[in-house]
Parts: sequence; C-alpha cells; structure tokens
Amino acid sequence: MDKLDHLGWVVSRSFEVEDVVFSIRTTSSVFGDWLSETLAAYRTRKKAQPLYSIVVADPSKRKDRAIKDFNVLYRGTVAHTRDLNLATVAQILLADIATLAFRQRDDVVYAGVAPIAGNGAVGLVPSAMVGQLADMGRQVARTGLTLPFVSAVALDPHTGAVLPSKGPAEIPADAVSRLHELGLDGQPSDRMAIPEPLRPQFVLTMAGPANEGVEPVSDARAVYTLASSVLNLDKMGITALETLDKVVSGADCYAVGGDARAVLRSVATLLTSDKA
Amino acid sequence: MSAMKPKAREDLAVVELEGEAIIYDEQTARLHHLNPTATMIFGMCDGTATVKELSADIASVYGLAPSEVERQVRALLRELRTSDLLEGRKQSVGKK
Repeated sequence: MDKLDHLGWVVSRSFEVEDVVFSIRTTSSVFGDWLSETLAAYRTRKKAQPLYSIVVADPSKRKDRAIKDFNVLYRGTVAHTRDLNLATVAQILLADIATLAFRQRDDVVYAGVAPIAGNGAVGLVPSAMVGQLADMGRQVARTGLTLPFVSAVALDPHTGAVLPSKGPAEIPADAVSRLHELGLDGQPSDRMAIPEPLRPQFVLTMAGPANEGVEPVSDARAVYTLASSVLNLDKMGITALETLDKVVSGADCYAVGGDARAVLRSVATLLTSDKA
Repeated sequence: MSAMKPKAREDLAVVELEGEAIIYDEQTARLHHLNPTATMIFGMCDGTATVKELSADIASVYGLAPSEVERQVRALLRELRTSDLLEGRKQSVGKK
C-alpha cells in the first residue's frame, strides 16, 4: 500500500477506452459525479487498478488559509499536475486519457511531446519539460509562456503538422462548464488547446540538468531524440522517422539543459529572440 | 577464406538528414544516430566491396593514407556490427 492510499478517496470508478481498462479515484464525491457523467460512454464493470487519482481542493478551506490549496492529478503514484484551477486539472486528465490508446494505433504518429507558445511563436518540447515548467507556477505566466493541456500529440505523416488535440471521442461538449454548474471551481484555464494543425517554429530537446543553457542541435539529432518519444514507433517505423523529418524541417532545433529555473529562462530567451 | 564484404541490414528503417543517419531497428526497437563519417561508410556497405576496397575508395577521394583509412573503417565497422546494423554475426565490443 502506498502513501496515496491514505488520501481519503471517496469515489473510484472503472473505465475502458479502446481496450485500456483503468480506474480513477478522487477525494470529491461531486467531482466523482462529474467523472461518471463525462466519461459515461466508457464506464465498465471490470475491475482495474487506479491509474489516475485526483485530490480536489476544498474551496471553503482555501478562503481561510494563507497557503494555497492545489488540486492534484496523480498518474500512478506520480504527481502529474498541481493546479489551483480544477478546470485545468480536469482538461489535462481528459487529454491524458486520450493518450492511453496511442501506443496501439497506426493511423498517425503519436509522440510524447507537446506544444508551448509565447511571443507569437510555437515550439514543440518533451512532455517532461512541460512538467518541469509547470512546476514553476506563476513564473511561467510572467514570461508570457503558455503551456498545453496535452502531454502527447498526433503528428500528420503527410505534413509533419501537430494535429488538433482530441479527448476521448464521446465526451460531452459542455464537460468543463459542467464543473462550474456542479459547484466546483471551473474558471477558464490558461492552458492552450490545439484547435487546428500547427507547425512549430522551434523544437526543443532536453540536454540534462548538467548542461545549462541553449545549444543548437542538428536536425538529425533532433529527429533521433524525438523518435525516442514516439509512442507507436514499433507500428510506424520508417514513417515515424520521415514524419519527424518533416516536423524539424521547418523548425530551429535546440537542446535545453539545466534545472527547471534554467530551462524556463532558456525558453523565455528563445521566445523573445529572433531564433524562435 | 574470402574477404568480408560488409552489408547493411536491409530491414532497417533509415532516414538521412544533412549527412547524418537516423536508424530504427524494428527487431530490437533500438534507435541509432550516425555521424556524417559513419553515415557515409554505412551507406557504402552494400555487400559488393571488401573492407580494403572500401578503404581504398575513401582514401583516394579524400587523398588520405590507405592504411590509416582502413584502420578507421575497420574500427567503425566493428561498432556497426556490435550495434547489429550489418548483416552477419553480431560482434561483441572490443572483439577483434
């Protein structure tokens, strides 16, 4: 039994998305109702281990406390997202559920990278870097950087464009606004969706914590690094490499290293320079 | 015994970008990144030339000493074979 098992879960529901069976547990019965309503098309009676655990902040406590009370989304035992806005956590959850079947598909290339935007430019970065940046909280917004909901994207093999993000197919269109109607904190999120295909102007790879700063890398190095993040590489093979070639062909490629603060500084510098 | 004529595996997924090769080996699910020199030599491994012939071709194009080129080509081919990118028996690291 891990530490997460002691956080006071009041609801646990099982779901099945494209043969992937998982359960979600939460500390809020109202949020549990929202999950049941939103993912009704995917409910199953099958038993499954908790894949997602959501600790929902209590707004009444937030007013009385100086410290901030975050909503937390765990994926397995790892804290995937901490955010004051439950709508952000909910949309990240739906986006992540959509990725569960990516490894099984062979329609397009799916990669564990995500877009970030700022100063009119869009970049593609490893999803781990998004997590690193998200942990910097409000400092991210102060740099003018917008982070995504998604932690993986679909890439068009014909054009190399990042395709619009889609949640699981049968999600009610008003799912997020229903959060507010149910009395949960559902302000509009400051995260970015991908409403239409986009071409990143820059591609970032991770250089590791010991290599602080930004270094240009060759297209081949970028493709090699991106390829290791392709979720359905075994199914797409050469098509995946050719798709990544198209992704980087219109972009400037860099390796960014250092701790989270250094990465944020490097990304901000890139966004405000002519390089991006 | 006939001289070895190195041949790149035909079942590898290879993309070449600005002289550097990215290779995906579906059998092992491994990715490889070759620098321009390795990419050039890997591309010459079509099973028709011996190591000596490959080395002589490179030496004549670049005006280098054939013996030095052959030493480097052999070292690289050992690495490619260790990475299982060539047809034939896989060779362990450092094996002569």
